Amino acid sequence: MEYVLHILILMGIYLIAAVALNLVAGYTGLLSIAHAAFFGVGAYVVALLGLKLGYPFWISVPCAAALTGLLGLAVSIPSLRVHDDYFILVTFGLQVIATGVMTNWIAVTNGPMGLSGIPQPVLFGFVFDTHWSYLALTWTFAIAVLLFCRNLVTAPFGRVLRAIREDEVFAQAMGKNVIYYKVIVFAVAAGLAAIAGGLYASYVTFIDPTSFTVQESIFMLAIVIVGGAGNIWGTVVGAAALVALPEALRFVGLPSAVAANTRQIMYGALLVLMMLFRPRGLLGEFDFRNTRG
Amino acid sequence: MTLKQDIIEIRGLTKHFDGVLAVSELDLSVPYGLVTAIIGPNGAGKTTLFHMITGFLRPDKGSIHFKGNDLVHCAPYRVARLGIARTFQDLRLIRQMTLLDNVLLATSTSECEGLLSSLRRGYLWRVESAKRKKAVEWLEFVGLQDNSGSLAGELSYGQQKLLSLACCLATGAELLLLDEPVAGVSPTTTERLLEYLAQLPSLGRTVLFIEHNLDAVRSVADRVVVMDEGTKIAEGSWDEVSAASNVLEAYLA
Repeated sequence: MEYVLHILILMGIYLIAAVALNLVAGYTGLLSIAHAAFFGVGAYVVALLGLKLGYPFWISVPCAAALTGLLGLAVSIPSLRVHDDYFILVTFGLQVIATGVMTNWIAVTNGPMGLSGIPQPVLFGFVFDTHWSYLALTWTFAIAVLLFCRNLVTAPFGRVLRAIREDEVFAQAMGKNVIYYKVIVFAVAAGLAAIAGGLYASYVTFIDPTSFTVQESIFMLAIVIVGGAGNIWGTVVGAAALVALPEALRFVGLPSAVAANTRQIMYGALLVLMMLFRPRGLLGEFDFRNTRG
Repeated sequence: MTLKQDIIEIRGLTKHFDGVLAVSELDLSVPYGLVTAIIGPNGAGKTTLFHMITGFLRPDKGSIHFKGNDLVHCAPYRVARLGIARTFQDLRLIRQMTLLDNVLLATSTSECEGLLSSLRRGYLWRVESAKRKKAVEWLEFVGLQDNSGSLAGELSYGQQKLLSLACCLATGAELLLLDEPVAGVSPTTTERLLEYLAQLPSLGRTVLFIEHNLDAVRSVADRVVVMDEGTKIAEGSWDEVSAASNVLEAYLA
């Protein structure tokens, strides 16, 4: 039972990160592969505030979201000057820098050894240390983030994002400040990813740079693409499917060392197959093959 | 023609592309409340001129004034907000959105499109339902109200041109720049489009349009500007322009 709960908690955490990425990649058409970097920064900020300053979860998570949102704002300004393939390369660069800092800034991050003993959330004396309680906590956040994102994309704000994704030139001709929208949505997505990162750090209580690499970014992008870019509910399906998928491998009797590698192969193969046969994803409206600059 | 009556005033506008002079020392004034056509052979610099007015291209030299605002250093979205709407030769629309959403996109102002207003559902609902009414009126104006729920990409080419006109009108812009509004459109749709164009001055709009279809120009334009090799070679009523010998030469050359 605890194992199932563990999977459900991870689904909730990755759902938050992936829904945020959907705002950027799915709705606005900006394929970012730096999302795990923001997820990681959030995790480190929450871990460090808890470990070094004794900040409670409820303060450190908003701090992490705000700081990471500002970081997203800062890095988006140079990266949004480039388009399409170049944007993907720039976000890849950002991701590599982030992993490099987490691995090498040992005084702060403890490098590859990671940070352990991250405090668990406490609310009015109640410690979220059981799987059931953490499940409730994670999904409360997940539902709040889902509703927040749904509000954004169903509002005129979301209509502008979709217009930018389909045809930036037309959006500009209709008086939309395209750069403003891109910067704002990138910062919001970074802030939300940091919330997911904070939940992750406080759940596993140990973090190291391997949880925040480019492979994690691609995993999050795979959730968005498989579920359907530009569809909030598609991301729910995508997160459930892709978090559960490797677990299913255990039951076919693969040894865990093999299963871990098979996981990466499956994600890669799934992305290739989706792009070939169902580029809109399971529930999505946007086909990455049909954009127009 | 006095200065006051001109909605847009262009002086000495020049643009090079890798040594090719696309627009050269162009002076042009567009009077308020008229339909002005720009004609000229391919490569005369007509679309380049539109790109410079709307901020998509930076001129090398010269000035563009729209109701007293200098447009030369304005980003495209600022030009649009000042009150200039445009269509594109290659017909830009949001094909994955419905007709109604396309027009709503054009209608909406920045206040209700911000991040924070997304969270004010009640306010948005009120604003949007008022806008929806207006948007439907513009779809009715171009006769597309029955398709308001279909995706823009599902429309025929001619209907897409009608929709892009509706979007321009919905922005509330005073000056409409239309790049070949009837090119590639069936004769019946052409007639409809021209009929709508002719009505625009009575709605307080000024129109500047590029067109190769000279019958269309003759039937709807109050004034005609002829461009060749980046400069204006003639200007006036259709009869004046069509009688000018240098215009014939430009077209026959």
